Amino acid sequence: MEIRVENCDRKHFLETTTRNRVSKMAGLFGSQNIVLSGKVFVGPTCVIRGDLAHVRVGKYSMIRDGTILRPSLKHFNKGVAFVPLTIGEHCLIEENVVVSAAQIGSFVNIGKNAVIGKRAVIKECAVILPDAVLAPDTVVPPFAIFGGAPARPVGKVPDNHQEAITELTTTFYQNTKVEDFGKGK
Amino acid sequence: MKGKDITAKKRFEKCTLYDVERVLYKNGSVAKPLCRLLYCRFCNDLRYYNSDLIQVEVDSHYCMHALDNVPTTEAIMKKNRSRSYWQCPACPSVLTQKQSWVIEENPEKPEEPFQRKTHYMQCPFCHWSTRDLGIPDAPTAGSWPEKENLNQSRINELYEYTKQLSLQQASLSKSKASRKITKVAGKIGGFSPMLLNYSMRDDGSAKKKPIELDNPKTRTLEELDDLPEEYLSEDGLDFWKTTSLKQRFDQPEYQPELTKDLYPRRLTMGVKRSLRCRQCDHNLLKPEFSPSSIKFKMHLIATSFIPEIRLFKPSAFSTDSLSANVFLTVTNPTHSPMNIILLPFCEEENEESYRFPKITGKIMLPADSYEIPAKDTLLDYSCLTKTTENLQPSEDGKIVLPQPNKIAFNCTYQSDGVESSEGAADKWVALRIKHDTLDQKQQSIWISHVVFIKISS
Ligand SMILES: [Zn+2]
Ligand SMILES: [Zn+2]
Repeated sequence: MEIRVENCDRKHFLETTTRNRVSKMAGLFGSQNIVLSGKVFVGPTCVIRGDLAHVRVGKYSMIRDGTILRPSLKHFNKGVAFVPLTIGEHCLIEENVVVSAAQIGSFVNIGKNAVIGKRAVIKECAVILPDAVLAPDTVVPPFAIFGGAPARPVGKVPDNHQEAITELTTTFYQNTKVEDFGKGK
Repeated sequence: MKGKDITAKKRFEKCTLYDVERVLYKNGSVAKPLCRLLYCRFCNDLRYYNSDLIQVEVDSHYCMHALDNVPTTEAIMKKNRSRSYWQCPACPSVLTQKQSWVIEENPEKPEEPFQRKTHYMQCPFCHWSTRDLGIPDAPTAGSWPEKENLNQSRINELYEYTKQLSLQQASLSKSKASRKITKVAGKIGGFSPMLLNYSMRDDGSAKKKPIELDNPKTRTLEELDDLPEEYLSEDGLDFWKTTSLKQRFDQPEYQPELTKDLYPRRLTMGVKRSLRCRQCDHNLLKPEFSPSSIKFKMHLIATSFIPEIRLFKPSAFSTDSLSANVFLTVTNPTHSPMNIILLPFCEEENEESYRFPKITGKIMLPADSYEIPAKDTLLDYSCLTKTTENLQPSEDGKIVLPQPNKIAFNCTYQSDGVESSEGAADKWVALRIKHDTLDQKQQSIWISHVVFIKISS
């Protein structure tokens, strides 16, 4: 099936100079610590907790409705600190996902309602299935599919994943466009 | 466990990104989505990963958690298990190493006891820990003894047996070959007597070595013990103390029945593999060496050579659901223009047709051949100003799409009229797509594929 069109009401979205499309209903806390690298989509009711630590989202990453990006705590010898959260390019994070990971590589797809545990590292081209619960400190190797609770490897991503998800995220971003986007207030 | 894994996999295919199970390309006796197929440029044919025509070669082993390479000899020695990472026996998460300090008595100065660092492992998901089991803490991280397999000697015995057997078989076939040689040599003459001698000697030694193997201590099903009393007692089973089937199957060598027998195991290693076409011996897929790399040295995946058919949008069925309007798109993934013809599929009845989706009706296809322009690599998707929203077909049934390398058709589906017993069964159609491509000598050739498409939602 070709990628469907997402209707975005321009009243509810803002477009930044780097053409990030951010819903006015999204909660961005500590915006001085949030870097959206351009053409990033942030859906309504998303929460990005930049007040805890730096959050960096790569180009063409789509963060769908209701998703929470929350940097996680790490214990060191001398107390605790929040770990910055980095998300690569062309990632698709579906609805109602909780992300407490330390690093998400490029071309990663995270299914609906998944929970990504603290300080987890998801490598490039990995896929997390809907409703999966990834244990803290998990490392997901490239091209792996993790699913279930706790998530375990269940398969291998097709080798054309990079092209497929690039097409998906760019088309998704394109399809959200409304004629006079950003002008409406 | 297996069943659950399969559903998980199915769900993956149904994710937004991969609604790929909808369009299947026939390859030999299987029908698979295009992204799960390879295209051999040298044989000009599709290849399925798990078929006999593909040879899988393990390039390198790596630790799934640390993502570092492990030399193959070491991987074999370690039985494909990680050096330093362990898995929780209660759930499959990777255990984390925890440090703690223990205070030891100092026999010389009782008022100043020693402080010693110890390590134990805890599951970050279910909080199972090695201390629960009474495994003593280790002085250094990762140095835990592995549980001994009770069947190890039997496994070694079988291993030796198969090794001997394969050796014997190899020498048998060799002696057969050498016998042929002696025959031929006898006919032509001129072969050195040394060679004849050698082959004779070889023959003898193979016969001398008998292979013996003790019969395993097996039991028939009738001899199995009765169900233990506690299963039938009023209190029933204590589920807090009993392991789940999943936990037992996770450790086939031990199959612990009680939670107190759960013991951590080393994390299984991952492999990077390359694929080779058996017919022409060319590499079809070769990943880069580094475990964290996503690049390929060789990458002949079918989606970059074969035109991809997709449904443009959900098909509009008539009220009796016997006919429908079907929008199909065909994408040219190559960097040269491509001619395509869509042909009706003539069903070949054979014993293998049960492997394919059941076709429920016919699809009326455009009779013309079309040229699809090449894919423009320089064109960023974002340059496309038009959205795919509200696209209307022109009079000849063709739809103009924003992507230049994609064309769309409006086709009609007509059901065979034989409604299956399940009313809401999936509706499948089949067609044959013929397209031109360049072969190794840069000459244009036509190849065709049978495609199954699920048009119902
Ligand atoms: Zn656990
Ligand atoms: Zn070949």
